[in-house]
Amino acid sequence: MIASILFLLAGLFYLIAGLGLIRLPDPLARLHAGTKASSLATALALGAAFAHHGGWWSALLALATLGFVFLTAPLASHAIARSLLASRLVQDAEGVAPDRES
Amino acid sequence: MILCALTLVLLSILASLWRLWHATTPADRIIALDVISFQAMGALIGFSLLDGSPLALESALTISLVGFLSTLALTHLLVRPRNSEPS
Repeated sequence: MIASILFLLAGLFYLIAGLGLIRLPDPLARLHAGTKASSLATALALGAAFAHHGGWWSALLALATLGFVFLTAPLASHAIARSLLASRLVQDAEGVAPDRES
Repeated sequence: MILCALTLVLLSILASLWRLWHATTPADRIIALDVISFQAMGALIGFSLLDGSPLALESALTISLVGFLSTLALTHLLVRPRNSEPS
């Protein structure tokens, strides 16, 4: 029961991420919608998996996946944002595209 | 109820695929692929809930690894295209 509720919440947050990808106007805004909502949804889905399966092996797998996701999702979105600015596809707040970093 | 939530996850994968198709910049495709890798992890976890075996959790861990590395590689291609001279 707890697993079903957690996984339903995860599905709702995945849907929010998908709708944000469709509806938001700007690539940086889409990055904001996609990364944060889908990280939270993945955490909820992993909690649902642990609540359903139990046992130390699924706990270890869920914790490892959760740590890896929360370690790498900010890094990936930072790399995407930096490449957006560096390839001059968008401008930053001052209206200038920064110089390309080596 | 799990089937209902799995339908939501598959609908959100369809939404991300729509953005992958109708992208305004090349970075949109990278963002959509990143989000699709997370949603595929969610769908795999849903299948493991239906199946009753925690074996699909290992595939979810593998997808998170491959998704992160492919996102980094694609952003490098966006900053420095393949046919430009190295700086």
